Amino acid sequence: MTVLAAAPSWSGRQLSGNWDVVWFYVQQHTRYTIIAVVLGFALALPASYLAVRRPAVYPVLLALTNIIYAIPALALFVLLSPWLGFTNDKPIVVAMTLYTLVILVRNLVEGIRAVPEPVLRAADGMGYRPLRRFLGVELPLALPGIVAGLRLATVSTVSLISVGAVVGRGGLGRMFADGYERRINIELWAALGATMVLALILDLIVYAAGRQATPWTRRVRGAVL
Amino acid sequence: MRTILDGLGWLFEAENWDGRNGIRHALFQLLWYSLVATAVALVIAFPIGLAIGHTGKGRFLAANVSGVWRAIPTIGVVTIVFRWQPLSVWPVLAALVVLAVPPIVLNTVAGFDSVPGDVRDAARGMGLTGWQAIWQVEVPNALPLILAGVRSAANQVIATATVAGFVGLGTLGVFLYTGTRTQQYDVVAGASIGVIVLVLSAEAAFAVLQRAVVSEGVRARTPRRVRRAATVPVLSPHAP
Repeated sequence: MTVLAAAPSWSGRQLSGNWDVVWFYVQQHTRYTIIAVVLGFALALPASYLAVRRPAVYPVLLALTNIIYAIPALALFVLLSPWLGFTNDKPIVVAMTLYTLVILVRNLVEGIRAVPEPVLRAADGMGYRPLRRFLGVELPLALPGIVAGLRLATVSTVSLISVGAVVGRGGLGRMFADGYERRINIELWAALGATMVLALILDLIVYAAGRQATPWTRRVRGAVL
Repeated sequence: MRTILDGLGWLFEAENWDGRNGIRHALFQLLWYSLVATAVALVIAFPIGLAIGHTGKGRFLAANVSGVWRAIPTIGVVTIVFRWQPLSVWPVLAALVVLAVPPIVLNTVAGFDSVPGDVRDAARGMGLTGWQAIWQVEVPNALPLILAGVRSAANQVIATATVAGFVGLGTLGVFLYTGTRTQQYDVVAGASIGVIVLVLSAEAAFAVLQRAVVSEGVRARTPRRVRRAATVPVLSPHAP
């Protein structure tokens, strides 16, 4: 979350000559998304471990993440601002991190729970300790579900960060705020287009990474043919 | 913690509830927009979900389109529609409908997918025509998941409808914006608590609705966990 002194601003009412503005905010938006999703995953991982080992914890976790998800984004980052600062985008990134939890925790837990019992028995039989079994057997086998969750979390985050626009913050959201105040339609459209292209590209990257990480899901399909 | 208590204090102050700028009016506006948006989204999304779910065609397309669709930023729709139709309800309504369509489509498809094959066969064996089979057999069987989709959509719509405050259309969002500008955090916290309570109430209302309209047999067959988890279809390639 860099200082925004160098932020370029939209000039005129046309797109040409303003690509530097778009590029600047796309980079910022990308950075925020990656930080939020990675942080969210880092929080969801231990939470889901707990939920799998202690099933009673799961409903509590779900209720908690659902309540966080119900907090209007604006309210969440306004309320986080006293701790994290009023002029930077940290509150927005932290708010997005919290929002990803509702998706990530659920997908992690459901994915891990879907791992077949015999596999777990086999791992136990081979002498895996609980934590190693979790990291070495359950997580890898739950990957397809986890990747689905990461894709959803990534796309949602890209789209949600822009809500920061209403307080003049939040990556590409700043372009929405500026275009709205100065009545520059093309800036709004540019921000919308950039958001969607960015979401699509990041989604494809996560999808491709997921495919690379789960070669067995492809091999099965090949065998059928 | 202190802010939350202050927010509750603001929320329970009777005089904050009255008048055109009061909490009561804002609450009803929020509910009204949410209801209209969810209803419009249902009218758009259900037929799409039905077509895909019943025929089994276009599922891949639906999963991918909904993926891109979800990337549409709410604030982008609001500001763009506002430039085009300022001072009307359209910016907010359009943004909320855009938000609510994907979960309903995806869950409706998932609902039709969840109808057991032998149930479909039985319907055909009893001589039901295509439409009869849809309305008398497939829809009732798919209902738990369809309702889960509507519930998920309604939750997101209620939490997001506050965006109306940004373009001067009221709702509890007004308190969020004015509170932010004037740094009155008790107002921001109070309005947020109000929204959370609304979302939770909607959740409860849907649970009651679910009990009322889903048939006994279908309910017995659908495990609790599935019904609850369905808010975010878990393993579909792109399915909050």
